[in-house]
Amino acid sequence: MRRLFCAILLLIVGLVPLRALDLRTPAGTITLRQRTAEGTTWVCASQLAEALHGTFTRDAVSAYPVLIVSGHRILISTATPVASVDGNLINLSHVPNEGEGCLWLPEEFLTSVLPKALGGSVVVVGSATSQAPSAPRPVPATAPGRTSERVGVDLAVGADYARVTLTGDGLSRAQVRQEGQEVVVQLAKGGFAEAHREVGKGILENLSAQGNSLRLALGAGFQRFETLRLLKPERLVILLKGKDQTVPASLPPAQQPPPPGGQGAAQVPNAPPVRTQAFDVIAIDPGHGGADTGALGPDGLEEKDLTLAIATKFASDLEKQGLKAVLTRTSDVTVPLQQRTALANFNQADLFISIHINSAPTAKAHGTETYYLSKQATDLWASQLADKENAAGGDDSSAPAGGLNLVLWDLAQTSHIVESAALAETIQDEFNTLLGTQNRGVRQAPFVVLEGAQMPAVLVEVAFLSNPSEAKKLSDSTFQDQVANALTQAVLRFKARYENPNPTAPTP
Amino acid sequence: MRTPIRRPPHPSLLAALGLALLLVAGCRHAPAGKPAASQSQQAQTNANQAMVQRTLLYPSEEDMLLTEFQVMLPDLGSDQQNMQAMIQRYLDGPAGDGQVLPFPDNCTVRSLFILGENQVVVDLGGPVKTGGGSATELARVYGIIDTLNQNFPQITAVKILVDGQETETLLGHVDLSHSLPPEPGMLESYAPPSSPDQPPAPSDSSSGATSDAHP
Repeated sequence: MRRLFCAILLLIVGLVPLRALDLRTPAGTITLRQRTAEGTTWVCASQLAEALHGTFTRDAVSAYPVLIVSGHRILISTATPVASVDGNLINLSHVPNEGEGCLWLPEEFLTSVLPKALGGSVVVVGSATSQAPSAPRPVPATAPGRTSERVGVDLAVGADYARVTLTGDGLSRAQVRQEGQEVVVQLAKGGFAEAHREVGKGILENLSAQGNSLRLALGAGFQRFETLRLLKPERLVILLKGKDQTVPASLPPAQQPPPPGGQGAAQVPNAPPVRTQAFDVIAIDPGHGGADTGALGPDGLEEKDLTLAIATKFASDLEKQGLKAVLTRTSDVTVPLQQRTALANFNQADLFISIHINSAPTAKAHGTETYYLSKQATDLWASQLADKENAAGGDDSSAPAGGLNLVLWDLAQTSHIVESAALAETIQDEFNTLLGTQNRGVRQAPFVVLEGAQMPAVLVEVAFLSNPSEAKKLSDSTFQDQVANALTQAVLRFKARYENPNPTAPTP
Repeated sequence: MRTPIRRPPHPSLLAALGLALLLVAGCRHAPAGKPAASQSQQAQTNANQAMVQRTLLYPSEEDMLLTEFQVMLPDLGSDQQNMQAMIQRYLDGPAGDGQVLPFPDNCTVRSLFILGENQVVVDLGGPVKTGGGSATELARVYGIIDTLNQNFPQITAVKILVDGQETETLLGHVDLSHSLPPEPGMLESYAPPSSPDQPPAPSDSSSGATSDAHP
C-alpha cells in the first residue's frame, strides 16, 4: 500500500512541467533546469557543473558537496546557508538542499557565489520551457574592468596617504624608484591610460605619464612609500605615506565615516580638522550604551553607566591639563563600534582609549587589564584579504563590511601597534601604582572597536563587575575619580615619553 | 516493411519514473529517517566504538585563562563529526575542578564544517550572545578555537557563526566577522613576552601578495 502511495505521489510530482533558466556567464549563456520553491528559483548543482565544464563531487574530509569550476573550489553547506569559494565564506539566505538526485542551489548562489569562481558577473536572463541543460553558447569575450591595453590609473587620497593603483598586464615587471621629489614607475613596455592628473597638495601633488613612465610629483608632506603587487588582475599599488594632504573637491574621499548613531553621539564633521601637535587630542570611548548595557552587576549596576561616568571624569581631567578630549558618546545612546573609531579618526585624535568594565561567570576573577589589537589575528586577516583580492579579480564586493581593503588596513591600527603596546603598558603601570588593583597585564585581542583607529588605541577593562568587592568600588564616585586620574597620568607620561624621546626610547 | 518511428519519451516523464523508482525503493527498504542497519547491528557497533581522549580548554575560575580538562569521547570516524561532537561537549560541560563553563545552558553547535585543509566554520545556536564582559567573551571564543587547535593541530583558523549568520561580536568586543587564529595568550600556561619592542613585520609573500617598504 505504501509502495503504491509513493508511486502515485511521484508520478503526480513528475507531471508538473519542469522549466528551464537561462544564465549569462563570462563563459557564455547556459540553460539549466529549474524548479521553484520557498519563493525562489533552484537549479541542480550537477547540471550546473556539467554546463560549465566543471566537476561536482564531495569533500573527502567533511563530505560536503564541492563544485569545481574554472579552477575554483566552491564548498557548499547543506546544513547552514553558506558557501565558500576558495575558503572565503559567502552567506546565502536559503540552505542548498538535496532531492530528486540533485543538490538544489538557490538562484542567489548563481549571482553571489558563482561570479567569484567565474571571475565576472552572472546574470539570470529568464526562464524557458525546455528541460535539457545546454553547453555554453560563447559570447564575445570582454575582460572585466579592462577597456584597453593601456595601464589604468586609480587614485585614492586621504589626509595622511595617497594610494595609486595601476591595473594592467606586465606590471609584475615594472620598476618603482624614487628620484628626488618624484616616485617613478617604469613599465617594461606599453603606456598609461591617462597623461596627467592634478591631485592636490601635501603628499602627492600630481601624476604625469609619458611613454612607459609614470611620474608621481611628491609634496612637502611626503615621508615614505610602499609598493604592493596583486594578481588577477595584475595590479601594482603604490602607497605614499605622510601628512596634511589636501583633497581637491573633484576627488571623492577614500573613506567615509558612518552616520552618527543618534542624539548624544559625537557628530562627525564634514572634513577633518587640521592636526595641531602630537598627542594633544585624546578620543575617549565609554564602552557600550543605549540598548547595549554591557555587563550587569549587583543592585542594577550596568557597565554602560559606569563607563560613561569614568569617561566623563577622565575627559574633565584631561581638559584641566590643557588637552582636548573627544568623547564618542556623552549620554546613554547606542553608537556602533566602527563609528567610534571613525569619530576619533575624523577628529584627528592622537590617542584612542576605550573604557570598559569586565565580567566573568565566576565571582573570583578580578583585576585590571589593558588590551591592544591582536597582531596574530590581524596578520591572518591581512593574508585572507590579500588572497581575496587576488581571487576576486578586482571585485571589491567581497571586502569586509567595514570596507577596509588590504592597503587601507595597513594604514590603520597595525601601523600603530608598537605605540599602542606602549600606551597599554603605561596605563597598566598607573593602575598598579594608584589603585593597587591586581595587574592582569597587557594583552592582545581582536577587538572591533580598536581595528579602524588611525592612532595608538587601547581598551581598558577597569575591574570586574562580577566580583562583589570590585563592583562595590566601581559604584563609588571616589574610586571613579581615581580611575580617571590614573588614566590621565598615563596619558601625560606617554605624551612626555613620545614627544620628548630620549636616545633609548622608541620614537613615534 | 516500414520501420516504426519511436518517439523519445517526454523528459519530465522520464524524470518522474526515475524518481518514482528511487523512492519506491526507499519505501521498501528503509523507514523514513532510520538507517538500514538492524538494532542488533547498531548495538554491536556501539559496543565496539573506539574512544579517544580530547583536551577541552575551559577558563580557570581564578583568572579566566584557559586550562586543560581531559575527557573521553567516542571516535565517530570523520574529523568533521569528531569536531562537532567535541565542541558540543564543550558547550554542554561540565568543566573540571577549578574551571568554569563560559557558555550559558542550552547552547548548541548547529553545524560545523571544514573548509580546505585548515579552516573550520562553527555555527552556534542558543543563548550564546547573552551575558557580558570581554573576559567571558574571550573565554567563549577562544575556548572553542583553542580547543579545536589543541585536538586538531591542522586547524589554524576558525569562523564562528550564530544561527547560521555572520555576527559582529558575541558580547560587544571580539571581532567575529573574520576567521580567527588560535590565541596562545589565552592559555594560562602561556608565558607572555616581556614587551613588544619591534614594529610589526611587513606583509609576507605567503598571502599571494608581495609588499615592499621604501623608507
